Amino acid sequence: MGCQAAATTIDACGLGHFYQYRDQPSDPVIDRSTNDQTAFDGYNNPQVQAQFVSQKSDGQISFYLQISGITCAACVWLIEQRLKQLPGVSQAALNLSTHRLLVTLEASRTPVSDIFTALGALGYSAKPWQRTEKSTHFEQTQKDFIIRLGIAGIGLMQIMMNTTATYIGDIAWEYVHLLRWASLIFTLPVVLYAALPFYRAAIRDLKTGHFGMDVPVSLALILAFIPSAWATLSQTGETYFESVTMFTFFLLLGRFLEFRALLKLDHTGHGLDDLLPPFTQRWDKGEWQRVSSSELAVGDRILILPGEKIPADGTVLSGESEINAATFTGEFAPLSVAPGDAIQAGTLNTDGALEVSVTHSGQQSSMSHMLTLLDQAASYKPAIARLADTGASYFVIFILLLAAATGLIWLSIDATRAFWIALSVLVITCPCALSLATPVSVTASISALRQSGILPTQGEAFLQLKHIDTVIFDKTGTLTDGQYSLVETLSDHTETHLQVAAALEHYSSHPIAKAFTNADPSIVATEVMVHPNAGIEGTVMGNKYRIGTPAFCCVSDPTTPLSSTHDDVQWIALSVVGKQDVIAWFAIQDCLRVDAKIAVDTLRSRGLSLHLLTGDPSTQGNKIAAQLNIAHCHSGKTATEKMHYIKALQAEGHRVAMVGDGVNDAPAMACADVAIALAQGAELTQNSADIILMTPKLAPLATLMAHSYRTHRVIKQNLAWGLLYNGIALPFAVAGYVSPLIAAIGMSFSSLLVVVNALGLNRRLT
Amino acid sequence: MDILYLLIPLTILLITGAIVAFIWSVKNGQFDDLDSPAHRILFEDDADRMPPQKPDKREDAG
Repeated sequence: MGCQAAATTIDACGLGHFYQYRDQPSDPVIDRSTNDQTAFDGYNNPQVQAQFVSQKSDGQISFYLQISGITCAACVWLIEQRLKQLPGVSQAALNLSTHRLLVTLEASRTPVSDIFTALGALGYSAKPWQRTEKSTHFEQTQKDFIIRLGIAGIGLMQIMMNTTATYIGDIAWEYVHLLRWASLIFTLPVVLYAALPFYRAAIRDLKTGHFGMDVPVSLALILAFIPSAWATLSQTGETYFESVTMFTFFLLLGRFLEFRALLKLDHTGHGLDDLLPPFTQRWDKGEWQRVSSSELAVGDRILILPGEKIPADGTVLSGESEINAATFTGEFAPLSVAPGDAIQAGTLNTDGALEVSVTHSGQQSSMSHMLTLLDQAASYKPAIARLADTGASYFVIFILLLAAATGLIWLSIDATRAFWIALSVLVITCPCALSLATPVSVTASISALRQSGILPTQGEAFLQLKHIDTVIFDKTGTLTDGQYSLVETLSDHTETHLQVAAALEHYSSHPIAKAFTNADPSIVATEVMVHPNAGIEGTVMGNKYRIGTPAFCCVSDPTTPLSSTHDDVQWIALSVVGKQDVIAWFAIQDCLRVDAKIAVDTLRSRGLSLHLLTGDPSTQGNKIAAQLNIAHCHSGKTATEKMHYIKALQAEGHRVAMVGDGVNDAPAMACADVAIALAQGAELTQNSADIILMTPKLAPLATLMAHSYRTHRVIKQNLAWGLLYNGIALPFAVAGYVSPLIAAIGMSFSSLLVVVNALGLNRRLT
Repeated sequence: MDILYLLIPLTILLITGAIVAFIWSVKNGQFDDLDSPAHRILFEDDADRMPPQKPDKREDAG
């Protein structure tokens, strides 16, 4: 309905090209038809505008909006075209990297709120954007990088041209001299400005006594530049300006790509402020008042209209609705909520108005907690990276000594070449590729996982998955979905009674109702009354029925039958109102997750040994184990017994991953090598799992495994390449076969290759 | 080859100009969005400036 409204708007505005341009499916649109048109009028208030609107000299105003719901470049086109159709809008420019929209308009012709309404009609939500310290910092860093890259790139092109001219031969010395002077002039800004970040990092490294890769880089740049400049001034010897600029340019390019990967992770994570709505309605002194979301405190009563985001964690007081928790889980299927249910900040109310009592304000909400976890994971340096860092530090000291030794030995063989050979050794062996190999891979991987609804809370655990050989599953809520299905019916007229039950349950939103599917939609219930926590009463085909708990249907005889085939089921009764007999019994059971079989099979095909541990004492655990072909099944285990079971496996030398709901199994999860939890919403805050699957599905488990293997493979490839390259290049350089130019090319391409290889991990997982 | 004495300094001047222009354009925000311009070039925003489509003659004949 919401999507259809948006599509109609798009078509009516003559913007049908959108469907031709887009290369990503759009997010579903929330129906805002019930929302009143004055919802955005708050933005016309001068006091509110003062926070984000800037006045221009010609009487126009301009402001930035942060847009959510953008999936690809076609959205950019659609939004810009639509806004430009509005009267008085002179500029609408949307940045695809940051999802930030700049609008310039005459407020007298189009009020600011119209922009929000127009965006809403297209299916995007917008909020005013203000400059933060972090965004300014990122913006400035990016500009710095681009300027430095530009200077190094332009300089590199010119110097290459000049150098080629001198190599071609038959050129008079006076012209060579002229070209060298030109090269020197172009190299100056590259060495003095573009390469500045390397010097700064090198000085920082030297101060802390840690030898990073910037030390040899800076040293090589200075050592190559000064003699070249001297050669130009004194008109003798060799110049290597082209090596200096090329080295700078490609190293900068590698650093820039690394920075962009970080930036992307930041944008996929988003800040808390982007995920919470700016205003909300609070019950104050007997009326609803629009207040800033940051003012909310625990216990406040707030009203959330359909189409609005929820500003704080809370409990529903009244109203029924559906919640879209895609920001948490990446899952667009709505969740129904009713009074008493908990809802999370940052999720979207899609259906009806909700009155909510605040339990945690925005800053303490589960959303805030999730962002903290994500930050932790992103800043974590895995052991292998730390090892590479320490290794690189020793390696740097080693190559500094080696370069000096090479120079000294060559002094006695051929004094004129000694310096340049020593320099080649210094350049070609720089361990940039080694140092970059892991951090870039981890950053790219976490970014990709996050987009697929997998939240690694520790980088280490995610990489450790590779070494896991045993996976232990919990049953309820892990292998089963915690939802109900009908397994047995005891009745004289099964078909009729099932239809009656389905017709009645159609009116209930309880999970049990989903167990009854209506085979014949023409049979409907009338005069329906839903009794919470008891059952439903209604008229079907002329008879008045009750369905629900035995006590609700039949007061006199609440004894339930015993199932012939299933244990651990819940019985639902059906009776005719006014009579004491139960006419039908339905056995309801929690069923397997649809993707459990595929996920379990995938893990088995990876050679993992699978175990099922459940606290449920019934035979159901064995049945599920048989169904999924899980070899080891143990029912009726307490949390402590589960823990001992894992410890016993570990004592045998196994590396164990535990998959559970993360809350009930906490002790067992804590002692597993890797703990993976299926968790949603509020559970997230109490969760100590290493990796959290934020969709209620098991399939991401296979993706996660595959991605862990892939990340390992890429890290290994990168490390192997770094070692191989250094191993091969070093002897040649020491033997004097490598000129500084070749050394600069080899070294730059080696680090670029590593970065580009790692960035491949950034692709969204399937 | 004496022309080099004119051309080389000229290059230096031109390149200096190019670098200054480049720095100005970066500071002016022209490089802030590195993703959408690649797609933007494919969008048709001149539909209103196109001459109205002439009816297909073959269809008229048929």
